[in-house]
Amino acid sequence: MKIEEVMQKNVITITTDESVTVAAAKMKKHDVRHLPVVDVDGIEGVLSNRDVRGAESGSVSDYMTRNVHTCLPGDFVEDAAHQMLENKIHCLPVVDPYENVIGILTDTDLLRTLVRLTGSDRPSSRVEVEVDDKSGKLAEVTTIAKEHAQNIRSIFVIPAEDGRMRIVMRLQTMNPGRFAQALKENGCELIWPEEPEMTL
Amino acid sequence: MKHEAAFVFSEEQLGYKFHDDHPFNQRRLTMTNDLLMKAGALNEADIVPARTATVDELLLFHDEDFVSAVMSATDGQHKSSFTTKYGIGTEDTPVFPMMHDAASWLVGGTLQAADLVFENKYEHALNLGGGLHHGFRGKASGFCIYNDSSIAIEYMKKKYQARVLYIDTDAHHGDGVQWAFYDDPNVCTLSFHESGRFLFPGTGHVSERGHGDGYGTAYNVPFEAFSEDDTMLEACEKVMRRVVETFKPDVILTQNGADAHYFDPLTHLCGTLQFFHEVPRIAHDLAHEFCDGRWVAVGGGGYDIWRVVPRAWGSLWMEMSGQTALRDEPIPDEWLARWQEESPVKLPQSWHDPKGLYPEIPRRKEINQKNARTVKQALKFLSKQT
Repeated sequence: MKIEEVMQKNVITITTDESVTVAAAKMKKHDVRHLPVVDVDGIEGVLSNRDVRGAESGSVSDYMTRNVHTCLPGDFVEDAAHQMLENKIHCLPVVDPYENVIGILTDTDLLRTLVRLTGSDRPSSRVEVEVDDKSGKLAEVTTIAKEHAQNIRSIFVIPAEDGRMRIVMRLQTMNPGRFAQALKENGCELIWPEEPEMTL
Repeated sequence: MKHEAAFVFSEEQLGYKFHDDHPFNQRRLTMTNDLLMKAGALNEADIVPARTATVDELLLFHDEDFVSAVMSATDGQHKSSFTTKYGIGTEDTPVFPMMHDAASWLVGGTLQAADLVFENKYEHALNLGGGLHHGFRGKASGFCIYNDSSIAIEYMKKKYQARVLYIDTDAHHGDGVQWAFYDDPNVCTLSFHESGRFLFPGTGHVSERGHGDGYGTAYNVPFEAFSEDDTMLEACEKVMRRVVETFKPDVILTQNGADAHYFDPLTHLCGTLQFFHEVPRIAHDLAHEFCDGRWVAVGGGGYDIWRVVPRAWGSLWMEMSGQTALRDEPIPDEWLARWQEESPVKLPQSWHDPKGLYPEIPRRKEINQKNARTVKQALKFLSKQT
């Protein structure tokens, strides 16, 4: 997914010469924690709700963070997430090639993306297996899904220890039992649903 | 004179049948009716026929293009796009002949039950063919095509200006009904279910509480896998009462899925018949205490159609019609003789499950603690309100 697919497009901005109290009021009104600071040449900085905490006078330029990290709408979401994590920041202004702010990406947008990627907001049953990290293993799993007429709503692969990998799937079904059983019979280690502690 | 309870049923409701190997099997209705008749708890004369729902009634909740798709699938014009867009023709919800008609009869049964209660003919009314709580506005899901409860709630709101409390004790989260009224302050949904970590549809977290004007009118109590009667009933008793006291509904609609039983093949809860005796008793008490008796009940899930569903739903009817003393009688021999041969398992001979139905649960203490914590979280919002 690209940033333009998940960013907020109605971005609330502020200019360097506005007063910090106006900025604080703006954050409160729009229920946002960050305001990109702009002037005619494009982005100048970011003002966060932490910057304005306790501030009573002065202009935005006195409090804002300068030389901020930005991203482009065509960047990948996962790279933006990595950038935010590495720099311990909670938002990235999205700019066009002329440094004009055209959107903003916040940690909330990343959480929404995680929910969308994993399908945890859609009706589904979750199945997780661990297999050898070898070419063709994922195909084996999805072939078994096909044989059981299971529609996979989301799937992701996570590296595990000792040359293994974990495959997490959400299936559009009430009844994943037979599919899970077939995965086990084909040598996958079933991680979820957890094995019952008693035989049913 | 107002009668105590109506039993709504029509043969047409049995047409809701995906295929022979599908876990959702309406033979459970036939078996339940037969059990009640043979137990002397139901006469032909007590049965009020269901009706079909009109397309306009379906549209109280469903999208027009979805209903058209179901109708054309019924006529055998299945397009592959229906599967992804409308959820019909999937493994869970395959196309079957006359599916629109059969699904409409299930909806009509619930509407009939609602009318019987609001027209003051009966205090309570039961439509075991209803309870298809996974149906969405524009999509079939989890064995459910039309969502009879959502439609009936809209119907009761419009026709009788009712504030409706929906209580769902199916082992699966009542997602379709919850999302339908998530921002509606006049409809409250309360769902008890096995945690979404283990079970379809995966939603129903305690933090799902409604949205906008409807914030505080959705409640969820997800149970740990392997939860037993005591911990589940304690939660039901506590939370149902608090929610009714706070929301003050005009009517209670209960969805009585029978899949929280230990024997159910699709779920991992450890309920016994005790659970299915007590849950309706709590609803019954609350309906009289707060709603002038108005109580509409529907069925739902339930996939052990031999040992569980007929007894669980039979017990529900006995509670509604004031015949709980019949539970002390054995299961009638005539019923056992009629069904034992077809049953792959031995049919139970009592309305009560014996102690030691399942092995001791090793993590019982931890499970009960987690459930108690969930109940506390679910009630948090309520204690702030009062």
